[in-house]
This record gives sequence, C-alpha cells and structure tokens, in this order.
Amino acid sequence: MTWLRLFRRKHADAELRREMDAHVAEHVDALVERGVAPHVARGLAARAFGNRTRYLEESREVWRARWTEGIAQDVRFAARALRGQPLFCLNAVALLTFGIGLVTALLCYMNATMLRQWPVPDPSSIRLIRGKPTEEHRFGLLSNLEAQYFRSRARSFTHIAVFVPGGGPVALESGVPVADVFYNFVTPNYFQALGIDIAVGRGFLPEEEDYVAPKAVAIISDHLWRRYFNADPTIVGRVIRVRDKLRTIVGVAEPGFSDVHGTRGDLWMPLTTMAISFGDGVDKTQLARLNDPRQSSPHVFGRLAPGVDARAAQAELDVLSSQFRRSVGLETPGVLLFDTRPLSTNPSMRSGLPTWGLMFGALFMVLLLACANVGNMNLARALTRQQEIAMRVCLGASRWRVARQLLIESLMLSLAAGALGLYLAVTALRVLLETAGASRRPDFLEADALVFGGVFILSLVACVFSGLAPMLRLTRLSLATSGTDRFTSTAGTGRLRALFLAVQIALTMVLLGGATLLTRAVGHAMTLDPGFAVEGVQLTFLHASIRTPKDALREIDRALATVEPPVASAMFEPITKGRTEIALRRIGEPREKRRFLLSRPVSANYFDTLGIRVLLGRTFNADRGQQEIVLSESAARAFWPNENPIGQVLTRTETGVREESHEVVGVVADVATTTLTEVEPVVYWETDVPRVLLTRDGSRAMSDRIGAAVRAVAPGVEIVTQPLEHNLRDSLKNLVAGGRLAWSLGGLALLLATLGAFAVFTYVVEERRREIGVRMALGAGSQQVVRLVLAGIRTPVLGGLLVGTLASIGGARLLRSALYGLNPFDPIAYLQIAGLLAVAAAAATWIPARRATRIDPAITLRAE
Amino acid sequence: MTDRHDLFPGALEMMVLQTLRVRPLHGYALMQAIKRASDDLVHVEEGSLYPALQRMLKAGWVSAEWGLSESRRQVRLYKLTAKGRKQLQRKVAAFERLLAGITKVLRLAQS
Repeated sequence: MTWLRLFRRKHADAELRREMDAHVAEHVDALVERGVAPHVARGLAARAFGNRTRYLEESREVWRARWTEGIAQDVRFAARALRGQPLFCLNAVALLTFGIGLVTALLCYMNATMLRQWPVPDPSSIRLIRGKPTEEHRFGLLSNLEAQYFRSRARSFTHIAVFVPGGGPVALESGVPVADVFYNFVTPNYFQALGIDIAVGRGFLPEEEDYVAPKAVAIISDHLWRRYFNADPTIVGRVIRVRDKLRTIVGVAEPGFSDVHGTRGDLWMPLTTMAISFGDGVDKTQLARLNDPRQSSPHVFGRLAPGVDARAAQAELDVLSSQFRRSVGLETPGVLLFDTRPLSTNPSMRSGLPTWGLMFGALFMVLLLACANVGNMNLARALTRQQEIAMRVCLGASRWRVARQLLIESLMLSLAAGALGLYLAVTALRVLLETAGASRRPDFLEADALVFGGVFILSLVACVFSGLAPMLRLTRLSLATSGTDRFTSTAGTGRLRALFLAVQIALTMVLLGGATLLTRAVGHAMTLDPGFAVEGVQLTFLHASIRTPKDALREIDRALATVEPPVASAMFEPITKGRTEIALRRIGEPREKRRFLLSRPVSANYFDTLGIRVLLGRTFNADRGQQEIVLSESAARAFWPNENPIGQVLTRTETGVREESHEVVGVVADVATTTLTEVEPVVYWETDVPRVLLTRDGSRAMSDRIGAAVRAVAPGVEIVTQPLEHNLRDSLKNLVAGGRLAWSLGGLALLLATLGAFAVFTYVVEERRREIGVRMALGAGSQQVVRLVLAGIRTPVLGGLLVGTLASIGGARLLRSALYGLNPFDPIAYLQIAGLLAVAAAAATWIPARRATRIDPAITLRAE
Repeated sequence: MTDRHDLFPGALEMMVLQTLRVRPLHGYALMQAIKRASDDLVHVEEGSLYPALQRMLKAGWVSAEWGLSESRRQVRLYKLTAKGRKQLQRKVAAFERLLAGITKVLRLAQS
C-alpha cells in the first residue's frame, strides 16, 4: 500500500514539475519573441513565477491528508531532532517526569479515595439511600424495616440491599486462625443488586434472612478461597469460625471481587447473623434492633431500574418513606440519594477538600518550576537552532509548519514525561501503600479515564509552559537575523528568561513560606495549654485482641488499685478525634431540648492524675457505677446557666435505648478535647472497660509493673506505652506531615530554581562572549564585567521576591485554619526566606559571572 | 509571500473559472488571459496559480488533460466542468452583492 501511494505521489509530483517547467518555458518564449535576450528572459520568467518549491509544496498539500501525513512526518523529524540531543532530552524528560509524577501521584490517590465509583458492573445506576437529616437524627435515619418496605414496593429500583460492615479473624473449624478479614452482613439480594456472580456454590437464599433463627452461612471471596483454602473444590459445606462463631460456607464470589470499599472485603454473611452471639446462641436484642424502625441501618443502596432516572426514584422513595414512617409514628423528612463516589456520600471528605487543594497547588507549583527550567533550556537550545529554522523557512516552510514542528517536539517530550510520570507515580504509591500494610482493594490504584485524562492535561500544560515561549521566539525568525548576528542576545529572549527566573523565585518563596509557617505552627501549638498536665504523664494503650474476653478488661482496674502513684484509666486518650456523643436533657424537659455532649468514660482518679481541677462537688463514687456523671464547666453552664448543677439530674435520650437518669456529682474545668485548641462540653462517666491507662510516673519500672499486672489478669492484651506528649504531637500529625511535605517541596523548588538560574546564566555569558570580549578589550575591568552580568538579574530577582512575598501572605490566609491561632504574618520569617533566595540566586549567577571575567578578548575576537 | 494578500481568498479561483468559461486553457495561457483581461491590474505570482488549480481539481470544478500548446509544447489543459460552472455563478453572485455593499459604504463616506 505504502509503495503504491509513494509511487502515485512521485508520479503526480513529476507531472506538476513538468507543467511548471512548461509554464516558464512558454513565458520565456513569449519574452524572447518580444525581443528580450534569452538569459534575461529566463530570469524574468522565473521571477514572475515566484517560489517554485513553495508552490510545489502547496500543491502537494492539497492532495495530502494533511493532518495525518504531515504530522507523521513531523513526528519522525522531531524524533530525529531529539535523538541528536540526548542530554537535553534526558534532562527535560527527567524534570518534567518528576513534576508530572508528583501531581499524578496525588491525582491517583485522590481519585482512588474520593472519586472512584464502586467496582461493579454499571456502577452509575447504583444509588445509596439515606434518610434526610433531622434535628433528632443528624445523620439521617433509615432503618432496616424501612429498607424492607422499599424493597417490596419500590418500582424504580430492581434491587434494594442493605449491608453492615465489620471485621475480625477467620479461623478453620479447628479454631486455627488463618486471616483477619473485613466482612459485610448483607441482605440475600446483595450480590444480585451489585451484579456480581457466584463462581462456586450458590448465593444467599431469600429464606436465609431469618429474623427468628438466623442461618449461619457465609460466602467468601475468590481471594480468600485461593489464598487460605487452596482453591479447595469441596469448599461448599465447610465450616469456619468468624470471630469465633461457626459459619457454613455456601459459595465463593466471582474472581476479582473484593467488595465495594477502599479496603478489601472478603466475606459475606446474612444480615440477621449479626445477632449470633458467642457460643452460637442468638442475641434477642440484636434481632430486635434490626426490627426497630428507630434504629438506623448504616448502608442501604439500590440498583435503578433501566430507564428510571434518579429524580423519579427519589420521588417514589419519598412517598413510600412517608407512608412507612407515618405508620410507625415517625417524622417524615424524606430520603436522599447519592451516587457511589465516596466524595458524594462522605461529608467529612468534602471538608478535607481545601487541604487536598492546597497540596495540589503546592505540587502543581513544583511542576510549573520544572516547566520553567525546561523552558529555559529550550530557549538556550532555540539559539543554536536558529540557522536550522531559518533554512527551513527559506526552503518554503510556512510559519505554521515550523511552529507545528516545534510544538510536536515539545509535545513528544512532555507526553513521554507524562507516561513515565504516571507509571512511576502508581508504582511508588503501590509500594508506599504496601509498606503501610493497608489491605487495599487490588484495583485501588488502577488508572482510569479520569487519571489518564488528568495526566494528558498535565502533559499539555507542561508542553505549553516549557515549549511555547521558545516556539514563539523561533518562529519570528527571518533570514536576516539568523545568519549574521549569531552572538547577539536579543531583547525578546532576555525578557523571557527574566520572567522565568522571577516566576521560579516567586514559586519557591511561596512554598518555603508555607513550610516555615507550618513548622512555626507546630512549635506554637505545643506551647498551648490543653488544660491538663502533660509533663511526666505516661499513657499505656491496651490493645485487646478479639480473643481477649471482655470481662478480663474489667479486672484490670482492680488489679492496679494498689499501685502507687495511682493509675487512672479511660476509654480514650485525652486528645483524640475519635468521638462518641450522648444526648442528654434536663429531667422533665421534652426530647427536643436535648443536647449532644462529647462522652468520655474515665476512672474517678482521672482528673487528679491529669491535674484537671474539680470546680464543684466531687468525682465518681466507686460503688454507684454509671448513675453518676461529672460535667465539664461549659457543659454545666449550658444546662444550668444560673443554678448550681450539683445534685441535678439529666436524662439520657437515645433511640432504641431505655431512658436513664444520671445525677451530676461534680463539675470540672474545661480541657482541650479533639485538638489542642478545641474545647467542647464533655460529660464524664465512670468507665468499666479501660482502653488507656494514665499515670504520673513515667519511669520504666512503672510501665513494667503495669504491664505485669495487666498480663496477669488479661492475657493476649497488647501493651503500648508512650508519654502523653506524644499523644499531643500525634494530634498535630497532619500539621507536622504538612510541614514536612512543604519543606521537601520547598527544598526541591529551591534546588530546581538554583540549577535553572545557573544554567541560564552560564548560557548568558556564553551568548555575550563577544560583547564582553569587546568591552574588556576596550578596558573594562573584571568588576565591571561581573556587574554587567549580574545587572540582568536584579529586576527579576527583586520582582520575584516581591511577588512571592505577596503570594505567600495570600497563601497564609488559606492555611490560617491549620495554624492554631498563630499570626501568619511574620516579617522576619519572610525576610529570612527572601535572604536565602537572594543568596541562592546570587550563588547561581556568581560562577558564570566569574567565568565571564576570564574571557580573553583576543581569542573571542579572533573567532569572528 | 506578500503577493497573495493582494487578492482576497477565492478571488483567483473565481477569475480562473470565469476565464475557463470560454475555452480550455493551459496554465500559462490562463495567467496571460487573466492579466490581459484585467489590464495588468491584477498582480499575482504566476506560480500561485498551481495550488489554486489543484484545489479546484480536487473539488471537481475543473478537469485536466494533457495536450499541446500553440508552441507544440506538452501542457495540461484545464476545462470547466458543470459543477465548476454552477460554482462560478454562485461565487459571482455573492461577490457582486459584496461589491455593491462595499461601494455603497464608500460612496456614503465620500458624500
């Protein structure tokens, strides 16, 4: 095929040439006839005809499939041109890969954790269903009963399923544990709703959702089956233990399916088997919860019937929901539908978006820096290519054709960098996640259309930022400027280079400014007073394994009662993001008046150990158990602004739980709760199951004693000891990590900017060699030469510093919420960074400038 | 390069089609005919005729075959096709409307 086309093209070319020759010959004949001398006539005719090569080329273009063939040729040419400069290519691709890779890694991770739909067939027709939030149910109420009501009546969904996630060890029937897995309790239609097949055995049967006598069956994943049961073909009917409860395996799910969450899930059991308790009996209250219209089921989803849009489905469910809720005497707020992307279902993810945005911005800045560096390299290269380009223009290349050629070269570099960046980013993330030990779904980091699109756009951005400037500069060339003035710097390139340098300095300034702020914020936060004693206090975390009996933990307090100094216990460490809230109201008041308070179960000596002042009353009295509560100052004031709270009674109001009354016996000072600066109203209960032990004696001997005492009563409990100070530091983890990230990016930026400036000024000196030679020949001293070279950078450096300072002051506003009240404007910090940058810029230009003074005028001038 | 900007796009094509209405012509003769008809007011590089001819060949407005010129030289003779004739009518009509419009504006500006 190709040779045939080639042949035809050659033939057509020859015809065209013959025709043009004839044209000129006719013209010559006509002129000669009029008496013009033949050699003059030939010249005149040729001039009248114009640029023959160009017209030949244009005529050819008419017949060509221009875009494909012309571009294929350009690509071939670009490849050849780039092969000629392997060092430049390597540098440029490495820099761009680095920049694109960083942004891509973040993109992949954000995509995987926030934007990915469930890994099932046609995920876009799946909708998660939740009750609309109300005063009483702030996260929305949707009970299993209501879901059942929907299931039997809704026409806009083919399936409506419920699942409740959990996790724990799986053991063989003999009791030998094989793996820790995540599992889901599901309605029997779970797999049909998701569109997932059962490869071995069968799926759940409708009658296995038994609310009287739960059927202890299970389906396992293909992964679990192959990994721990050697793909045993007789797996169906085998009995295993899941968290010590017996289950019979009835099926294996299709290969590759490991549930719908970010973490892999490998086992499924009927929803009702949640009620199977230790010793394989049935927990009646658990079953009752599943049948309580006031008990929310965490996850309900449906598969939309073909052709039904989500709005119609929502309208139908709203009606059904109202019918159902009126029948059981509940408010009727309606329902909400969400698609399966975590970002749309998880509101806390949305509040984290600004942080991700900041990180994205910082990484994007590094990419821009890399682009600016490559852009500068390109500018330098452009000068060496002037002649080549001029030659091509002379030979009939149009300006667009030349521009296209350069664009394709730049695009090839940035696309190569994009592909490489994507590969490295995904590989690095995979390794990172594996070393972090997270059991992610296997497809977690798979690049999808969104990631590919993102990388493509990043590559285009890289192409434009690194290649456009030199391209504009080169295509403006004409024959006149290219041949002779080889060594004269033109104003255009100088200005572009200055701009690149200024941009680099400004970006570096922003990154370093952010890094300094975050570091200072950590230091600042550690000086904040949380309201309790930190120094010398030691925490002992008790990690009860699943095999530790719950009652054993209750013994721990008693076992430690005689230890001196006293050991306090609590459910949580003093500052933790983990929270349980409890609704309380004054006795005799209606439900609507209730308040949600942060609940902290602690032992009576907790306050004394942490030095939290008891303002009124006393702490718990051991024998009255959980009837007594202690309130924090702000909590007490919320209930009784003007009364003495001691001796008052509060009623605990929770759906599905019997109402209980509690007497307020004490009021303690407010302390930091979830972060170092957040003080929330707290209700303290006496804890019965300690998870954390606290003592004022931070010595090794003390921790050994605690360890021995715990192990004696509760075998299998793992113990981790650390100073309370670490807990505070842990609560600043994100801030510290953010600071580290900002420093490493800032350092990288500084390195890139310095290397970039160095390369550019080496080039500037090279370019002005002749001028400098002449100046020196005319008597300029080395001082003057250095000043001459450095004069070029004064404006961009100062401009970059100014813009960078303004930009980082603006950026600090974005960080404000993370700064723990630190005033972001710190002139000294900015001056330090500016000084550092100025020194770096000076260092990067000093060496080339020194080199300039060593130019020998005689040699330079002779070279001309 | 500047020569081309003396004509608006499509002008050369229109003149070529009009000239070919009388009889088939080869490239050089075509160019001479256009120059003569315009009293030498139209200045284009003669070579620019060829890309234009290729475009019209591709569009099917003209057809070409090899023949002999008056000086017995092998040349390609271009002939107007039916499609080209229709195209010419359309183009001329459009151009006349445009010209009338421009003329009116110019007169208004003068008075």
